[in-house]
Amino acid sequence: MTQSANTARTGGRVNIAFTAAAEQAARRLVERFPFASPLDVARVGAAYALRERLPLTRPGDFGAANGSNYNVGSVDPQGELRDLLLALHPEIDEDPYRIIETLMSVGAIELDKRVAAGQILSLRDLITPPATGRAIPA
Amino acid sequence: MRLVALEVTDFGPYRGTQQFSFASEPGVELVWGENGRGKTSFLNAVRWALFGVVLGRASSKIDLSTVGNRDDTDSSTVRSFKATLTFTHGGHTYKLTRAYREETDWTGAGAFRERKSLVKDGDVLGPEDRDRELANLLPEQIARFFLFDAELLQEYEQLLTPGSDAGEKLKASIERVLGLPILTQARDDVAAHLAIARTEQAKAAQKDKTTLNLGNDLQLASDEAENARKNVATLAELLEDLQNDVNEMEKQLTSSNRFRGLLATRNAKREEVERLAARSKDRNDELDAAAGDVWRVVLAPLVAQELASIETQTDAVNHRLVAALAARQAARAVSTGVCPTCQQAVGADLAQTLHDHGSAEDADTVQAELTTLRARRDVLRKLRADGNRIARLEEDANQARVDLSDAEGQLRDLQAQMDEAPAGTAEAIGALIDTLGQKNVSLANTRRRLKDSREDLQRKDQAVVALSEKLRRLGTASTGAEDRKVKLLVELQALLAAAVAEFRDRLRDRIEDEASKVFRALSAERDYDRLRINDNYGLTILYADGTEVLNRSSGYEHVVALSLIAALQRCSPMAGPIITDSPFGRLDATHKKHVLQALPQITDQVVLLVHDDELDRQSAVNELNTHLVGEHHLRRVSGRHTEIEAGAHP
Repeated sequence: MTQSANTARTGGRVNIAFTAAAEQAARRLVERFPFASPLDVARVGAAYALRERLPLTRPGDFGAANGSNYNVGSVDPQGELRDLLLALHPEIDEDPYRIIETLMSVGAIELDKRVAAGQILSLRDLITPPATGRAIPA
Repeated sequence: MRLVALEVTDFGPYRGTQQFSFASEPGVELVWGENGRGKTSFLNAVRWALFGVVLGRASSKIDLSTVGNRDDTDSSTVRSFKATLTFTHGGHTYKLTRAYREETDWTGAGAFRERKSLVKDGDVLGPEDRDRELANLLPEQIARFFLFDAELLQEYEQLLTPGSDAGEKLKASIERVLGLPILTQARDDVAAHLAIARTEQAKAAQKDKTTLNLGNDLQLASDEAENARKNVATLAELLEDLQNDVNEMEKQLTSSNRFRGLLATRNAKREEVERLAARSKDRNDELDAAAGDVWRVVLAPLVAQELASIETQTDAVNHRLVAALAARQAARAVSTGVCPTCQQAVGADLAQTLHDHGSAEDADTVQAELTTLRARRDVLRKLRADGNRIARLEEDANQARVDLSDAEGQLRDLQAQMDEAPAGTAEAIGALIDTLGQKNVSLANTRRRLKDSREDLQRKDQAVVALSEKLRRLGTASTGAEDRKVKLLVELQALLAAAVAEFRDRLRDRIEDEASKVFRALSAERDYDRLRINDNYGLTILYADGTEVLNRSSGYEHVVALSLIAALQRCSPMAGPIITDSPFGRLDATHKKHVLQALPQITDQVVLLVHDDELDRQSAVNELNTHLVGEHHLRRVSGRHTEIEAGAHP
């Protein structure tokens, strides 16, 4: 890992946000599950995307992350999510919170699709990884 | 008394005028009728003719405006009805008619009234003669020993509870049927004369200077005793009124049992819904609190996988590190010609061999790689997630929601059922329960006051007796005549009190003996030996060794009650027919058989109102044999119309 990569990994982002589509998905998930706010969905979405090994890079149709702004300190108060991300993906050489911003949106949208498809109906379904579960094609 | 015929007109289900002729020979008659045909109404027709009352469940009086036969569904219309009972007694023939009919007064307004008439040997008796004859023939207070049903039999258990109001009334009825009032009335009459005599004694004493003070004291004490007596009488009357009110209210509450049950269930369900709602909220709160950890649980499988991979990588890197460190030592041996470990010289051949096997990997680089792996492992190991707890909390919360939803549905159903009742029913019942509570408090207070007043009266009576006796002992001429009168009445009162006690004791012994004889004939349990009577005429079953049978069955309650009734019939100066409604309901086959065999021995005229399920006809015919003197049946014409017909069911 280079010096510049290390600098990039410590990051300098203060705020992160959902994309517009992800924000709508997050609101639906808050309605459906006992999550207190979209902030919870942000963390769950990122964790879900990691577990489902969704790409860390932004897809072409990702769009602008211009939904409500969340302070990084609110999303990841102790830096736990960031540390886990880096431990899982030591190859990352950019700001981890940019990747978390990507993951929370793609994860929330993916989760929302699976809920709509009736594949995830409860927290139990969500926390139990599917044997062969993979992302639903858009 | 022997019943000859009953004629009913529009009484209960008996539409029009219908005749029933009782058998003229001694024995048992059976009247067969299914439930709802009019067996209780038949008993009530006889009761109405004799006493002017119609009884419903729990011996409550039925409103007369509801008794008349009706052929429509308009319950607001009051109908006339009538019953005429023909019977013989003491060589005379009586025809007693009692009617409930509408009469118009001088203003033309109509009102329903009870009218009765008594014809004796063809002569219509005037009101006074009629009432006197009726009071002597069969006083209402003893009707229970002649006209009864299973519910009335059950009340005899009250005799075993000392001091119970029902038991006291029953005891009074028993003593009445046994003729005790002749003595007790005589005793009470003498007591009244004695009180007058003492007043006269006081007045006479007041006329003499030597006895003036004593006379005044006696006068005052007598006045105080009289006031105390009036107080006791007033309280006794109040107590009876309160007891009647309480009975009436309890009956009203009994009649609203279904609604009250519904109300209680609704209230309990409402509380359950509140409890379940609180539980559901608690479970949701717990789940909400735990939901913040869901992301960790989601990530946990990936972290576990990665940890396993890191462990494998760490092993491999460790091996590489060992090799790199060994290579570094070898290189040093080759370059210095001395082994850095054992300090021995390294020859050219060995140096060549070490050089050939040297590793190209740098130990520091491998060490750094290992450090990175360990750092990642340490981060991943910090993740704490309990998926089972979250799943369990979610299940608990879901279950709590389902339970709440079910209970809310049931509550809505109950509320809908309650809404069908007339408006204000719940409030009326609530008010009735409140009033009943207050009446019960008054009843308890009045009972206590009556007890205190009786004790007060006793003390005051004793004071009067002491003063009167003191005056008599002075033996002054002025009070001489009154003193002698008082002395005579005191002795007469003592004699009558002793006679009452003696008569009671003898009666109790006789009833115990007679009831035991009947009981032995009726009982199917060979170990039950006899009955023991208490001061209230309550009967306890005894084993042969004299120990009590505890917790006897309700079937045996009836056997004991029938034994008592039979004993009373045998010991009473009044003999009469027995008409009983569904008396076999609680008896098993053996006891039914025994009762059938014993009935003809109890009295000359027995009428049993029974239904097929209660009594098998063939068994009844066999057991009664020649004692069966008549059969009748109640034929259904419609739900509101029954005809009395001769013979058993066709």
